[in-house]
Amino acid sequence: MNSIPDDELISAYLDNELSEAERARVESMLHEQPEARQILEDLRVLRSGFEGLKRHRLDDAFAERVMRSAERELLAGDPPGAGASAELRLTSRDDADREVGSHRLSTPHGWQRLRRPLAWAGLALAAGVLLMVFDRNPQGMAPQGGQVAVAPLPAGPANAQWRAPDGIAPLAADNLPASAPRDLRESLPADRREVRGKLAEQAPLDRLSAGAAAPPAPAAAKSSAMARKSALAAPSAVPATGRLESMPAGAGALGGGKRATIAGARDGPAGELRAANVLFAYELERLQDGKLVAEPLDDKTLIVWCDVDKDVADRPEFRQLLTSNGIAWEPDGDQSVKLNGLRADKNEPKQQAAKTKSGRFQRSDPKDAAAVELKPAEGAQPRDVLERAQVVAEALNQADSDYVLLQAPAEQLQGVLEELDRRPELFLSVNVEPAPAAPEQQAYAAYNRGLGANEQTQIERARKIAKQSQTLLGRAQRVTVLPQLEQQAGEEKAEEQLEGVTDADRPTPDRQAGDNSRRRMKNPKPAATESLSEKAAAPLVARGVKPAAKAKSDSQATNTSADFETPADYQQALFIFRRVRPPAAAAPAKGDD
Amino acid sequence: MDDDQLINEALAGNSASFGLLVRKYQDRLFNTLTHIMGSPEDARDVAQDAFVKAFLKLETFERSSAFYTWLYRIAFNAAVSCKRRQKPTVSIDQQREQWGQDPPGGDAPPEDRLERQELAGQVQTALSRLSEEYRTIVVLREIDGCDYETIAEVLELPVGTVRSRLHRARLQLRAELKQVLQPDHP
Repeated sequence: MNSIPDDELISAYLDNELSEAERARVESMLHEQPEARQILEDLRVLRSGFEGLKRHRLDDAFAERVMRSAERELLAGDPPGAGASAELRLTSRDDADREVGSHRLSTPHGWQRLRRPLAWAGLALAAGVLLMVFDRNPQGMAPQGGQVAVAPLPAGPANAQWRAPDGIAPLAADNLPASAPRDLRESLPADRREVRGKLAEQAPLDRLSAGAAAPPAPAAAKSSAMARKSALAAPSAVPATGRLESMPAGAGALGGGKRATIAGARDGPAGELRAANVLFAYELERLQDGKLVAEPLDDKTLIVWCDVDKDVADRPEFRQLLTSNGIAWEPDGDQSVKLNGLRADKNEPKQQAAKTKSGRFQRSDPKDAAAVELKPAEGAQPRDVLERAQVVAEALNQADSDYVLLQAPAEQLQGVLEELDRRPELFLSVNVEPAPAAPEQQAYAAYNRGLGANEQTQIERARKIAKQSQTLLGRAQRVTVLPQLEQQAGEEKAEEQLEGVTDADRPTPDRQAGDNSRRRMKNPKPAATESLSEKAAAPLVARGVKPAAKAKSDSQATNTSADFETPADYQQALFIFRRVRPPAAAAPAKGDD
Repeated sequence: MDDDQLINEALAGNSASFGLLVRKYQDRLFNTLTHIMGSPEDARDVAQDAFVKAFLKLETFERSSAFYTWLYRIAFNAAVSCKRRQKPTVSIDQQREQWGQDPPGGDAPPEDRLERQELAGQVQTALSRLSEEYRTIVVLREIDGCDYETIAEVLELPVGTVRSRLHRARLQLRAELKQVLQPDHP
């Protein structure tokens, strides 16, 4: 008896994992075949050997260590057991006068879940801290019941040491990005204008001296028992008599009713501000260190939030959508792309973000917790960048989210967004977050389509646009333009049919709105006069590869592939896919109307 | 309290409830991981890591499977990552030290308790020689007691693959322990 299926049946028979028919078959086999009986007997003996194996147990303190580690990671954004270079601890202090929402802060779920390296919790801590800092009763802030331990900047040349710039109002409700959770907004007090004003009095952004770090002495008896992780930077940024100390995370950081305070508050508002600035600077520093770097994400990067139905089966539409817009999927091997999660099979090789000038996108696995390196543009407010990245990072590290970082010619990206807009069935919501420092990118917000009350309106608008586009040969009907595909006559034919389309005819999201600034994306080159073959060739040409068939529409093109070689033509977009439960009321409309 | 209640409480902010979940499953998870990874130290780290991740991601637990199955999947992924960072492991001497068993060599049949212990040691050694893929599935079935469906869910494999892979792993163990299992056969 050598057939594999029969053998497997014996094994499954031992495990009682057979159907009735299979069981009967095995029993017949066992009756007739001594070899089968031998195999079964051997497997039974083998099993008895397993039963004799030692049972390993953990000590009783393991659970406590787990919870401490979880709290540590929650607050510091460092992985458990990673020997974090810095820790934050939010300790308890009851203070009925201060409604800092610390219950929310201490709750590990929801938006406060933190992942390295972008210390969202650190920022939340800063929020709580600064609430305390600007309380009008400094005496009440004496750290008696507890202290805020702020991890100081690790010393070393690698640290770009910053002081918080002026004008930064940390985490005022009105400073939060639109996508910030409501809980966060509600947990913050409204009097941030005052905070901002005080901060505005601070010195402009400058660098702290690297070598000025000095280990702070314990400010209170409670801290003396705590380990200090590293030295403080820049004594000038530290309150004269107060102290910022590092303390390991410990029990008590989670749970309800916690309050935060800050050591050093006894210096009064000036000291508090300095302390807060150091805290903020530290967080900015941690942000910019970016231990695990994916791609640079500057403030011109679009963030496109795409919510997908959790229950939606795998769909390849997004990849098709990209390829139909000339953006090549360059898999590293044969990899399937799942729309709901875009998560790689764990055995699949990870894609690397190779720098090419072609339109391509990188799929990343959120399990790697790849961070987004933050690079504030010249003159950009670090606060905006920080807040923005915090929200992004928090989303990226959700188990149910994945992201695609896309670099492509702006026009291709526009095409992608247009198509997303025309296809409400593809995603439950699409929200484009334009770069804060790039007003012209506000136009991308025109493609926003979200869940909730506006959904029906947006769906109808999308339907209308889809209807309009049906009269044209839309991009979806174009042949995909993977680099290895040769030019096809059909594309040119399609292009010819589109030739008569003017910019005014192209479906845009807010045609009815009458808001010209958002009405449509400004095409760098009119699409109708640019041949599809040129677009198809662009990625190839940009990489120095000649396409197999030259476009016969060369004469039509008002732009050449060379135009796409310049970085300025490229737009970076981060598509974040989140699996969500669709609202009960409305489902994305499909089909006819 | 059952797992659902503990999870609900943990989600509501009562981290102590999650601590109870940890206590409930820590030994089982640790035991399984130890046998898969071959090192109690590594298993402890991975178990802790898994529980922490489960805590931080508890909101994403959809309850379509048992909590332990979900936890195990997290742990398994963490173990894979841990293994990738490590060099190959455990010598026979190290095994003896860890498991308190002698390496294979004797011909005595597994009949009484002492022989059973010896068999266990030999099974342990043979287990450590399996590929990680085979070892994992055997441990899940024989040590953790998971059914095929659970194994399939944890390892994200079809049930048919679980069955065939488990069987091949067993055959490999059987071949390795042939002299012990069939002492009368040359």
